[in-house]
Amino acid sequence: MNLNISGLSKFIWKSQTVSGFGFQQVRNKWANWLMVRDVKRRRMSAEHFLERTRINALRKNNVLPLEIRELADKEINKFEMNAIPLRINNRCVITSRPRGIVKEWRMSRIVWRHLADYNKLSGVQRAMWG
Amino acid sequence: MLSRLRIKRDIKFFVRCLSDKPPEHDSKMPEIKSRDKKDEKKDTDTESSTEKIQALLKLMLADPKISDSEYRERFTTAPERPKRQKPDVLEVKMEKIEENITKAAAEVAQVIGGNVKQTEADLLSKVLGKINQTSTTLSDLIVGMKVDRSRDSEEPMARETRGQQVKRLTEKSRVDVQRTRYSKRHQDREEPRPKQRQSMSQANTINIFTGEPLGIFEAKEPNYGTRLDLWEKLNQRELMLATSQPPANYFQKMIMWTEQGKVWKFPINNEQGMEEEKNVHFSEHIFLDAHLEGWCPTKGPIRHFMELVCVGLSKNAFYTVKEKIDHIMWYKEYFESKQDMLTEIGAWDNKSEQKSETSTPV
Repeated sequence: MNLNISGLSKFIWKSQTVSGFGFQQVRNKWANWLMVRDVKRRRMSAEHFLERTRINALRKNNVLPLEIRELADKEINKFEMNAIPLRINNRCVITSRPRGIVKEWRMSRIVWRHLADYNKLSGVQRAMWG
Repeated sequence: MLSRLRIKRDIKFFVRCLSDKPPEHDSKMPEIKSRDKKDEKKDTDTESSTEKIQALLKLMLADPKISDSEYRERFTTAPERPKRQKPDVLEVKMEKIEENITKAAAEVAQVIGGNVKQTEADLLSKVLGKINQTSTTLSDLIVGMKVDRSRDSEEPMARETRGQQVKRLTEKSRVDVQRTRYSKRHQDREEPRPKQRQSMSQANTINIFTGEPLGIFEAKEPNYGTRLDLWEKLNQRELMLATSQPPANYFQKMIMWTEQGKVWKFPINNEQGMEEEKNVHFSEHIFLDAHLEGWCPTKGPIRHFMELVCVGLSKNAFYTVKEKIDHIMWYKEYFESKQDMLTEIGAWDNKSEQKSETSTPV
């Protein structure tokens, strides 16, 4: 699960050759460490999605005998926690805000409003009726 | 002035350390003397020299115990006298060199023969001219220098075109590959030199790194069959970055996107990019029971389950036929791996059931 952040940030934090080690700010592509975690979870769950759904299908039916279902129960627990798609959190893509997300644009309402005011969102207009 | 004293001291230390003899009686540093005497008394003959050297080294490293002002008060230090040694030394040396050169020139001229005096004069002018040049005055420099009138020719070169830039980058990288690190270092040093030459045209410097090689040694590196994958990848990346220029305007950007297939073509087709799926007939998507033949038991819970799977897949509008078949085959492998467990339950044995059915009526 190589996100290309840990390598560089570790190097900066630990290597004594880089000046300001241990205190230097590390800049990534993502706004937040929470966002980084979310990205990790998305990638992991995408990786294991197929196998997990197939094993889940074995579990969620009353056609197959009980023993098979129990076996499938044990098998599905062998996946990592980050492979579970339910752990994905739809955060704002720009600010990593967990709440108040406008789903279609994947942004928080504040950023959405900002961009809409500057006419950057296609088809978005100030509401007016009556 | 005091720094000079310290330097003198240090030099004397060095001299003492290098010499094997014990240090002489020195009125300037009584502390060291007492320490040395103590050391001499304590140590045996075999250890005395090494001990002394070590002690001296330690003393060298240690800071002086007395401050400079105290030292000046306590002991008589030499009064400051202006040092004129250096220019005198230089002048003496210069005279000696000139004498030697004149003698040598005369001898050489005699050996060569011909017009002795002319050759002597030529040699002297060439050699002495250089030495006299070391006393640089502004007038000398200006006389020697030529006015640089190349400004007009530089303007078209100032902005090199894209093609030239790419050429430069690729050739540089190509040439770099062939050279070793050693030669590259010298190449980097060589680069500022041609610029210097243009301004001071009189200086006859010899550059060892230009010029045609004799061809005695081969610069080939032996190939041990090692594969540097990452290196090659990065090389390719470098070439790509050098050759591919970012688009200069919007038209070029759109062209690039169209070639990549990112641009929506009008009239909009929702299935743009999925043209291969049109060739697949819909029956292949729906009738998936054929893939259950051979391995799936004809009756029982597993058959029931697999038929449900096939119904679900037939309604799936997003999977390709290959993905659907893979789905079914995954289940086949899964059940076959759990065979022993399934036969215990009695859900799996398909072939024995069929055989028993066919055999019993007989």
